[in-house]
Amino acid sequence: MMRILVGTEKGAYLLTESGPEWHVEGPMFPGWKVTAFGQTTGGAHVAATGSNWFGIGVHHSENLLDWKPSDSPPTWPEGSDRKMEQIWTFHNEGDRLLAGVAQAGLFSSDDGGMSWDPVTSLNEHRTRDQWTPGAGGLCAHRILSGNGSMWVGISAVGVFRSDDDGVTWVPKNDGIPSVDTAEGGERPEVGYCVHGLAHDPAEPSHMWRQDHQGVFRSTDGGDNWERIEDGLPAGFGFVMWRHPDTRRLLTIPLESSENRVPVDGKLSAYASDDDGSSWRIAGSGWSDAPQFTGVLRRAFDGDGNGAFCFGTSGGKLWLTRDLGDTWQELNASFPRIAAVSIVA
Amino acid sequence: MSVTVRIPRVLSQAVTSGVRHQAEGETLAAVLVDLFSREPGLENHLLDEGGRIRPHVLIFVDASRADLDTPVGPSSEIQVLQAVSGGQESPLPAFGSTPPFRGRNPVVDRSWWDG
Repeated sequence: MMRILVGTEKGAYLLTESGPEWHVEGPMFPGWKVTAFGQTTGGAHVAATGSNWFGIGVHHSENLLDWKPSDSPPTWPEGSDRKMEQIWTFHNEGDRLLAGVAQAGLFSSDDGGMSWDPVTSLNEHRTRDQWTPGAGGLCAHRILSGNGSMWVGISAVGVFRSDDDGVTWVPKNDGIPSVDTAEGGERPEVGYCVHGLAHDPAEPSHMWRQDHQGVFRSTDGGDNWERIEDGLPAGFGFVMWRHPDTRRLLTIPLESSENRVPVDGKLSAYASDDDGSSWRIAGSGWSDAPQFTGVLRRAFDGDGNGAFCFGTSGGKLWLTRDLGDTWQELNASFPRIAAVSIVA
Repeated sequence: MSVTVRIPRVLSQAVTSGVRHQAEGETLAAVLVDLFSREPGLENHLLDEGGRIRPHVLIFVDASRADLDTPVGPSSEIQVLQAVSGGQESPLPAFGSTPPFRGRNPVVDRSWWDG
């Protein structure tokens, strides 16, 4: 029985499979943006909430319906001029729960998300004074780890890698065009707008990147990136996902930075079975009706069993259970979808 | 002497129960400290990183807008409100100043403009 958590601009919803239909419960956190979901190593579910007026929150649940707030969510140290605008992602690294936030930063919790400490080695990186926000703000929205390395993707800044358990961080963006540097100009150390980042759990140094400037891959942990857009209708988008067993890649192209909707309104995921060397429309089931809607950078999730689900800024959910061979649009509408999590 | 503190319903997710609370103190700051000792989840939502009342939160003591130094009497009532902002650079005027309303310019939430 599949369950899907959906975080939206106005609360969260829990969808539970019930025969051919889906039972929808919610909204949870009414009136709050729900921006990220996670799970502690102890098994508790974690949700992040945000408000334009009341700041952010972290909540815990054992049953996905009853949530208890953390008394000490991530916060910048007193005296900092940074704002805690939003939690973008959670990630388990060993016994720690990590959170990526805006304004861009990484926080770590040793007690399952009840209290948090800033990861100053990244947050106060020597390039910090060069970090400037893009259209999506200045957010640390993706955390990956494996084989002793960690990667953090920060919008409008780039990808950082640590090979020493977070003690030091090095920008890893060679081969990526800078957002605002003229061709032929000197490459800046930061200023690369990563939108999506995935890697192969079996080979963590094999990485794929949906960037503001296109789709790229790296076979050396981000030391070098090469463009891979053969078969894609556009290089722009936010989604990048790698299935751990079959190694199929999925992405969802959008027309451009200026027009963040599917090309010609034809919403569909694209799949690659050759590590991104070529892409094709993923399977069947897509709507023939125009779908001028976007997919936000954390509004998707996949599991190891072939399920992959994404939500749109128009509030619809699309699901595949066979790794993208067949798709269905779920029969429900929600507010603008920011976060999706498939839970066992 | 405890006073009543009412919070917006949207903040009920951050407290153990309800929107009506009792707390003690002779200033708004002291009342909030007492309230936070029993409802620690509220602090982050009412105060910013610097310990100031959040820019878009209004707190009234006996129907007058208050700051943290505002005295609180034994029969005072405290109301927390969600502000609606307008104007230009500063989302809310400094306490006691004239609001610079020059047209609608609601809070811009950049974080959601990513798709």
